[in-house]
Amino acid sequence: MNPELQRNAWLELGPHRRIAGPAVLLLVFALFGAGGEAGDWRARLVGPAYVLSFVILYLYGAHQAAESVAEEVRDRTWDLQRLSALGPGAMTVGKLFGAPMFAWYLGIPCLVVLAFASSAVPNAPHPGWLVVTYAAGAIAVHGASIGLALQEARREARAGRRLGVLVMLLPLLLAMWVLPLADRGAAQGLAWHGRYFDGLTFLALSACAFAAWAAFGAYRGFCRELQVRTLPWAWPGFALFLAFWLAGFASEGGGFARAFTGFGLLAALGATYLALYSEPTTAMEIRRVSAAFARGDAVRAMEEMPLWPTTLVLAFAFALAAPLAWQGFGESLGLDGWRELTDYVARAPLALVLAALRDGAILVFFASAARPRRVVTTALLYAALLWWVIPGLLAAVGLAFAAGVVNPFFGGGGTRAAIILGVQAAIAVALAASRWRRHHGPKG
Amino acid sequence: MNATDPIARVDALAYEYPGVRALDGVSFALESGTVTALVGPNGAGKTTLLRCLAGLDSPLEGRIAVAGVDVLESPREAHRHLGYLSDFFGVYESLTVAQCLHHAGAIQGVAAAALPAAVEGTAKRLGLADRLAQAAGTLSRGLRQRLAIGQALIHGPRLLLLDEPAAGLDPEARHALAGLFRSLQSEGMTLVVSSHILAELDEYSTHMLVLREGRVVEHRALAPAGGDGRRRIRVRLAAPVDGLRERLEALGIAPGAAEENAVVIEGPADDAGRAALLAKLVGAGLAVAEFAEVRENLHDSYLRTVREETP
Repeated sequence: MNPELQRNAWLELGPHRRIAGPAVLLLVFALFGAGGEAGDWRARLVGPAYVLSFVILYLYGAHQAAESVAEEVRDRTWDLQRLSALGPGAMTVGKLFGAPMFAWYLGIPCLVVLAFASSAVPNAPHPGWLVVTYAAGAIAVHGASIGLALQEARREARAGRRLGVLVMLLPLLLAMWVLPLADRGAAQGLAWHGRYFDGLTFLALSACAFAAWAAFGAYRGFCRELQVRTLPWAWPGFALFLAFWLAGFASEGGGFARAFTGFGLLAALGATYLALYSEPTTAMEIRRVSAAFARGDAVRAMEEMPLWPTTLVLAFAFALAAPLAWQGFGESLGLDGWRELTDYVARAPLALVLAALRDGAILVFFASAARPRRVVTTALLYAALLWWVIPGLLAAVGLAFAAGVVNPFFGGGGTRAAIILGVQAAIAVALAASRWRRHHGPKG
Repeated sequence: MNATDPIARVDALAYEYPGVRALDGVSFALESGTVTALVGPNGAGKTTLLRCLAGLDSPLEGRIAVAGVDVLESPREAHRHLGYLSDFFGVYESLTVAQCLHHAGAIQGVAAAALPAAVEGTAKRLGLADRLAQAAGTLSRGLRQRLAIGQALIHGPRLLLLDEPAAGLDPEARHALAGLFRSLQSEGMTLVVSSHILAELDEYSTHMLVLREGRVVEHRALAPAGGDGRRRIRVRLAAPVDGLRERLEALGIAPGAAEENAVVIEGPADDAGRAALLAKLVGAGLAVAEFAEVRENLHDSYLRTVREETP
């Protein structure tokens, strides 16, 4: 048996829990099933089964998954795990299915009740797909929680303090976004990449795909923690997958290229910012990358590289491809100002990528201090100042031109935005490089 | 890998924290079956060196091999050959001692069939056999320390790295720990022990590795044997003897530093040889009151090394 599964079974499934957990569930379902309302008693179980499945599998499960790493760091047992001879695959399985073991122990009966009760409700979703959707969604949330916990573990000092509670926001956000979509999809069906799907079937298949990515993300996180070096293709790969998945909703009528470049840019930029502010980029990591490049070891340099530059490069590729993909779009819509639209589409993506480069350089600048402190918070603060606060204030007092210099999107104009943000990015990169060389560059 | 090859080899290791060169060109080799005292002032890089050796932290430059396995290239394989106890270790408080040891053995690749025996053997060796069913969280500091060491060595590593293993232990527990380390060494295990308590290291160390500001200041054997494996032996006589040096030379014994009634001589490393030497001295009419190997005092050696290095 996987040692991590075994350890979690010892911790999570003690005799008392094994008996008391299902007994409490049984009582709750009995209470609702025996309620005085008219109609099929099974139908009365649908609501409680939905809620309990969500609370147990998603909220409690996400908490437990994140704590599987955070608690180890807090209790100083993480080194023992990192020293083990277990590979990242075994560790992923052990943590992903071991830590939320009690959540699954109670959650699976809830899903069975949900499937059973749904079959008694006219026009209810297909019970099988419903269970698959719920289960795959839970795995996706658990995998993402572990991934976040692993990022936090690399910060060491603050690791795990609030993470278990924080990651419970993940399923709540997911529910807010997915449930309305699921309702609409279930009622109407949906088209994706030109093919029509039943809403729930599509949701179930999508949940499976995202669960696989989340599990793979956790695996790559463990690779990093266990010093198993890998090339950084998975993070941009996920951004590409996300772009492909999103483009499926908008690609009817031959617009795949437009949709793919548009969503690709957004996905790559989103992934860049998420990695930039969640993974600890340190001056020493940059030093390792630089040392590997200096030795001519490009593979090692790529292995040591933080994730955010990989998706930034991808975003840059999408920004360059955007004008080609969107060529003639304004004209095809019969817009008078299509040339302006084309100019904006041609330059604005580049401006966005340059802004991300600037924000990355700002973070590196603060990470390169002699004694770096609160790097992410400070970098976030400066990004907020440059994106909204300063231009907002300048615009509010009537200095629209100045506002447009700080954040050119306040003034419109793709070319102008690209030039201004290009200058800002160049200044930020120069300052970051200078500071890094001064404090951390090779001596002598 | 031959039996005579070093169990660990470190070449040109460099590690940096922001603004600090924690390790700078560190190179050394550890002979099998030795106990190396890793000493140095606070911030010298001892913990960083141990963590790099254990494959927990990646150095900026350099190479590390343990039992012939490149730690940086194949850390998972290297972990099968080494055990590590951190200075701030933790144990799974909710698990029993038996479960902690079982889990540690399992994650270190001990075969399922061999695990019960490994758990029992490790618990017995560490004096935890009567506490197997006790929750780890209820153990005293000393017993937790023993459990953590048990977790580090249950898979029978060839190299055991211990960072401040005696910190917070009472004298009795420290003495027991020293006994354990001697016993592990006698079984052929190589140990590297970092500690500030030099007197305690003196009890079992065979080698000393001094780090200062991230550099190896000295790495050598303590109480070094001569080329023919001879030892320094201090002989004290019951009363002063005139012409002691001459009488010793007449017996074919080269005297070293001599006092009025004591002298340091070279003698064989084995017990039988030493017994014969003692018999020779007594047979020559010398009233031998004390006959003991001179072991180099680690504390004095360390201070001397540090003074020599201080500009």
